Amino acid sequence: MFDIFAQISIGWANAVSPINLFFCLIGVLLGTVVGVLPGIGPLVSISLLFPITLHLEPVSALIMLAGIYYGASYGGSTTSILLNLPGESASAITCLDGYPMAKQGRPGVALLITAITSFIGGSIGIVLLMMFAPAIASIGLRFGPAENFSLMLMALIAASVVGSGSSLKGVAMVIFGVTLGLVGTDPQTGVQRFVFGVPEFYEGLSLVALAMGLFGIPEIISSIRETRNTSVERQTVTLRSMIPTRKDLSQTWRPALRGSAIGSFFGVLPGTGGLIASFMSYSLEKRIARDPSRFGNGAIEGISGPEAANNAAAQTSFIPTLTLGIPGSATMAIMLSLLIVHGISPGPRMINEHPDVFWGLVMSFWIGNVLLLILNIPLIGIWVRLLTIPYNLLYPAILMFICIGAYSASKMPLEVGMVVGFGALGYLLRLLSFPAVPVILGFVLGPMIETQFVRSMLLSRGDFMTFVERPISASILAVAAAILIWAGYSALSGKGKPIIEEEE
Amino acid sequence: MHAIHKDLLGGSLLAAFGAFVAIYAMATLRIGSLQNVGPGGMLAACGILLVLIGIPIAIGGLRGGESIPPIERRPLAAILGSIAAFGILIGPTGLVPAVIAQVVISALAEETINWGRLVMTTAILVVLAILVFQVFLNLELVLIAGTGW
Repeated sequence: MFDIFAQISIGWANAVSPINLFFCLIGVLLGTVVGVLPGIGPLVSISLLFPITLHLEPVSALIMLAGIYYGASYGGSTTSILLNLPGESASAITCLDGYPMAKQGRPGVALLITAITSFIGGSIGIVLLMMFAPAIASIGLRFGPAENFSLMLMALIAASVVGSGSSLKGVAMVIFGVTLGLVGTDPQTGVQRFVFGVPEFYEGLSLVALAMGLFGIPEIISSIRETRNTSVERQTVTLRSMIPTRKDLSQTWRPALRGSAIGSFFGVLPGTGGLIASFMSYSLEKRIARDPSRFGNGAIEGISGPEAANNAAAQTSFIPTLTLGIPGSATMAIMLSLLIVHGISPGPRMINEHPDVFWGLVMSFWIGNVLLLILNIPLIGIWVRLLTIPYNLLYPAILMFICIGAYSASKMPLEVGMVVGFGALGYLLRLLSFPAVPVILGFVLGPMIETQFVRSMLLSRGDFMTFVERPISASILAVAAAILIWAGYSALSGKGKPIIEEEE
Repeated sequence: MHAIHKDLLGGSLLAAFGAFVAIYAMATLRIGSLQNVGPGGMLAACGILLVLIGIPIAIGGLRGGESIPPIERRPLAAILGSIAAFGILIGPTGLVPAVIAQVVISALAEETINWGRLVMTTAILVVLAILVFQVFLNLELVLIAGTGW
């Protein structure tokens, strides 16, 4: 028991060190900006900064990237409320009641409420993370290669199946990602695979280039065509206009708590996250409201619940990555890679072997959320003004960051060439309606899942049944099978899934 | 495009890719046995799975579905071209010419080009690039090849 307190205080000391405070601030500010600006999301920004963070201490790098991740959840709602345009996919629901509130002359209140409920959601998420992470990690310590394999398989299946579009295509993309991930030197035998004599491929294909090419480039290409007729109505969002009435507050706190619970749940599950959580929260609030007709016309529950949900999800989504080494989304996969590159193997042992990293990161979540709550309110004017930057200035800047970012990772022009190649691939995928997120997950997990499979087979001496004979592994596989069956059922019966795609 | 349905093309490409992977893996790498999985084992399995999944997708495309939307040739070529230009130029000529080339070529993605704005944008971005990457992050990139910068 005292052990945990000692570890937490190590983490706290780490988090409040001037350097890490600085990176936390940069991270959450960047995250808010990224969340506010439509067309660039946390996934692309984190992949852009990934090569640069290689020069930093792992804790500092993680603190900053994490700040971008949950910071974006705060920023995305700003454009939803003011412009009916979600800055981030998970903030789409906030448009439904946030924009009407703005039109009714209450944008300030909406913005403040989203900030507060985001903070509530984030805080509850962090508390749950702190409470459950050590316990989950200790369970994970008892996992062998077979259990790890089944867990990763389940995560991949969940990620490819949940969401809009054909599950078949999702699974195909995961396997495609795994194939790409296996290019390079085989960790087991040292043999070169699919390298075609190109020395730069010995270490495998570049995750940075893949992420930027698959997500950043197609987004830019399609955004150019859209006429950006976003006239930011000069709403005077004064500080005084933000003060909510007592009625507002009384209608807010319960949806916020409910939303936090929903968000925390969906955040932990692989393949789901803020978007589904906010959607579910909205549906729930509408269903239990005394007067559902208010929804869509500025009902405050319509923003409190979903905003709490997506921030709670942003925090709890760190749980599987940090405690078990299983990323639940493409963004988490990139953060996982960051840890691996720095020599920290994420998983059950990480809490005990690197408490400074783990608890430092968790404590930084507190700092970050407080910073976001305080900063978002006065800085709203700046965010609004950011939106007036025409896209024609923005996209060359984004492209430039992509180019230099990719180049700086390895100082190899080929890295930039890979961005071009993956960019074309990303465009093709979008054209043919194939989801891109599962590719990244497959890419990162591919080598790991192969290692676990090979080890399981070595231990069981070629007995394939070992995955079902071991009880934990068997139960995980049963869950995975259930997900597959559900997917197959809803596909065949033509019920169709809600049009939700977890972008990041 | 011609009335080829999305899934027909998508599924076929997938299956073709999978076949290539599986065949190449089996030809050049040791597959091994279940007990002793070789480097090619997982790759071949993935390739085969892709073929198995690609075929139903393609067949689904035969029965109808959406057709392929038109390719936005101009933005696609401009954006990819601008990145390629950067990659080609940065080694021999340094950061500044590479950024200039990148910004100018990417501007071709738009229908109309406002030259005044383009010059200003280029100038801003070159300065930004130098500030952020050279000064702030100390990446030690060659600015203009041949000069001492």
